[in-house]
Amino acid sequence: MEQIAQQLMNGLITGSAYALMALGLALIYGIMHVANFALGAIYMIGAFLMYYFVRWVGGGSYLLGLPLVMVVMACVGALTERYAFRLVRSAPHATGFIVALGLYMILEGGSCVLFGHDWREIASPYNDVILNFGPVIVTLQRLLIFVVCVLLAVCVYVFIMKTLTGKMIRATSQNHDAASLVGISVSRMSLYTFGLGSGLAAAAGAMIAPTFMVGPAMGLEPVTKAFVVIILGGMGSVRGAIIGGFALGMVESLGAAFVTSMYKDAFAFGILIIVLVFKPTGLFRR
Amino acid sequence: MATRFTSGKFWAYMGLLAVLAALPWTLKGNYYIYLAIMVGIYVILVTSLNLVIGYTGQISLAHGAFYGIGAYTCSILQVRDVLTFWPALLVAVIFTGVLGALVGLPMLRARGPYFAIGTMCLSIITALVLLNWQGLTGGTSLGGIPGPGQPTIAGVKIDFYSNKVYYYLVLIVAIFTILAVHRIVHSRVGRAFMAIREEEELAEAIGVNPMRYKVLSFSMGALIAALAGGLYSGYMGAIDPEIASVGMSFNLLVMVLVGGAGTISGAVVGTILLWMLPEVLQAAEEYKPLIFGLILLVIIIFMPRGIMGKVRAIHPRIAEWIP
Amino acid sequence: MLLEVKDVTKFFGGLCAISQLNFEIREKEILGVIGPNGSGKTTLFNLITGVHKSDGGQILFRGERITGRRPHEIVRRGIARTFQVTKLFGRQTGLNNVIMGLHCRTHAGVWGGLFRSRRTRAEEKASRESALELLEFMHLSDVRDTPAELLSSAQQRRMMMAIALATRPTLLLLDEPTSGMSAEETAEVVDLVGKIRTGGVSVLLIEHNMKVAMGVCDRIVAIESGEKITEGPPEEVAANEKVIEAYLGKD
Repeated sequence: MEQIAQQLMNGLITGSAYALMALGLALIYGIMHVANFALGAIYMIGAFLMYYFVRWVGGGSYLLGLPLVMVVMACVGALTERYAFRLVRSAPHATGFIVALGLYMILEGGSCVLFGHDWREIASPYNDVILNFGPVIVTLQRLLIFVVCVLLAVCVYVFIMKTLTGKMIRATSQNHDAASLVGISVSRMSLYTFGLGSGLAAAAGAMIAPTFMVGPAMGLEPVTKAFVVIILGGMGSVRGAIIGGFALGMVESLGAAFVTSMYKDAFAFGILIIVLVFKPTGLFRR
Repeated sequence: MATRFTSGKFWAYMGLLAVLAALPWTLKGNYYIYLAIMVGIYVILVTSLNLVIGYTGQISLAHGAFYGIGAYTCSILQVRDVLTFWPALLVAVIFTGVLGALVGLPMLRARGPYFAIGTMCLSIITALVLLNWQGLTGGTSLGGIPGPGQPTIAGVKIDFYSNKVYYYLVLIVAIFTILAVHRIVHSRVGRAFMAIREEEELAEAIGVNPMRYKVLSFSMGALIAALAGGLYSGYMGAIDPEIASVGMSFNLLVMVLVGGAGTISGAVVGTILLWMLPEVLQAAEEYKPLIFGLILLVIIIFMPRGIMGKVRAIHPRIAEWIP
Repeated sequence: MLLEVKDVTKFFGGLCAISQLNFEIREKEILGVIGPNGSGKTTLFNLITGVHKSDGGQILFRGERITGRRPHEIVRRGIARTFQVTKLFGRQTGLNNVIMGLHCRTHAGVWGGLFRSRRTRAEEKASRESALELLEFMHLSDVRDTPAELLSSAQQRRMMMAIALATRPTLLLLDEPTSGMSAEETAEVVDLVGKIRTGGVSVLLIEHNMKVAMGVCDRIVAIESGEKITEGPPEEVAANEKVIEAYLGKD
């Protein structure tokens, strides 16, 4: 029983990172029908930026680094939209995906060259503080991950649903032509959304970084899992991304504890394959 | 009277064949013959991916996995003394082809990004299994693969451990593969592939069963990839799970798209270019993903039909001469 | 009875596109389907050809149930169609387009393609000849080597018909074959439709052009909002009150 509670807690934590990534992917897919695989590299660079920030400024500044990382990577994401994705906007959807793959390769390859292949650790002071919630044990760092990710997700949700810009983004996601007709600049909404999605992915990477090793290849599996989440939850669905992310996190943790931990990462992928076998269009319609 | 032997095209290709046959004798050093062999193996592999992507329009990222499965099946059968190289190769090829069909049947009902991500998941799982199932695959590396060895055929001793000899083996297999794919593409089956790729709804409306042909091409692609894998394992003598990784699938995708998906010469050109370029640039191994990614981006944005796609569109005569 | 549509119903979400539709087509008959925009005519085609699954009722072709079958299976049984929006293999030549239509009547598989047996080569030759004949019949011989996307609009619509005919159907569904055509081009199509019927193929024709519908059809079915409002010989249907109302609105 305590084991289950512990695993659920762990699952919620990793799930919150998945939820954030999936949210970024869902927003971008929703507006431009692009499966932006490059977010995996953005996630990784977010982690690297945090690593260098902490090394440069000092361990206690960890949380200060987060907004910085998010803003920088949001700009990078916007740049990718403006100078890569926008050029293929009118091409078939597969082209956008290939552009994303190309960007991923460039960003990961570039990081390898700049930072080297090695995995490294971020020293965060929060890693050492351990908290007890009844039978469940959690480090402050991990609790922070959960809190920050949930906060960000809620903020984004509110932004998308309640603010004017958010509504404009939603309108554009539903129908480009109609949005243009009422004066919304599709290009600008696309730019914002790519930026927002990238910022979220970078945040997920930066938050997760201290609990995990940082290396150029770290983004591949998380982004693939995030894709699994949105394929299962509905490709453009904000709610599906968030709920699905948490769900996946918990399934993984429970599976790792009670079935096998060696193939833990394979759960997400196995689930996707099984679902696709029975429902090639995903679990929910968009 | 016009026969094949009076056609200029025929002699042009014969000339090319002569050049290729003479190649090992003109290359200075084993390293270059090694390169030539690797390019040959990859030509076979990329041609098989081209069959899937170029002719059914589905982006598959599972091809590295089929390459790896072919290599590992062939190797494991030899290492465990179950079969010698050639029968093991045959079994590996058939096994992977069947696997491709079994996997393709459910997966190909999904489209676009669903299919692509699904195949990526397959790749990741395959690499994970190859790495972790140590008892079967030897974990991080599987060595001691005998390969074709040094058999005596009709009183002549053929030394497959020699680079030059292996080059000719790979060259012959590559040529046959290209010819076979060319034939299939220009037959009724190939027309069905084209129809599905160009206008699937119309294809269905004239009696083409899309699933059947998608699975067929996926399975054939897997089969040929396994052939390449077996040849690779026979050459290297040792293999590791990296060859089945997602990174490998990415690289193969770049080669197909840069050369031109849906063109046979594209697969060849793309492979040669992407092997030669790092060599010419004297680039270290670690720069490859960066370079490949840049090339992919440039090509997909400015030349989506690839180099050969563009070249062949210049004039129908060119398209006639270069498949 | 060639085709029987019995009590067929189709919903899209909450919207009823076709409601309890009933009609029949006989051998060697030209049946017209008319109705205002959005009345469900193309949906009807999609139901017959298996693109959509019906939510009720049955469709029988030569007495055999075809409801629920996939499109390529229905083509093999002898029903072919053209599309409202021109669909062709644009980058292929006219000849290759028509040869494509012969797919379901030929058999060569991977082995045949690979080894080019005598049978396969004979089949390829026969296909080519049949395709050339069809092009001739549809007045498209001169564009046999031209990529389909370069053809004129009228030629493209005739090409669609040629491809459909290549599947050797017994029932041909034409979705607004004369749309966008001049009077001359329309007359050409009307003539061809007549010849197609003489050749033993029944035709189910969606037409907006009243003159064409009245002129070429043996019988007409009028549909509005997914329901049949009347059926019968052209003159009767044209004089029917409800039909006039549907097209011109209550006055």
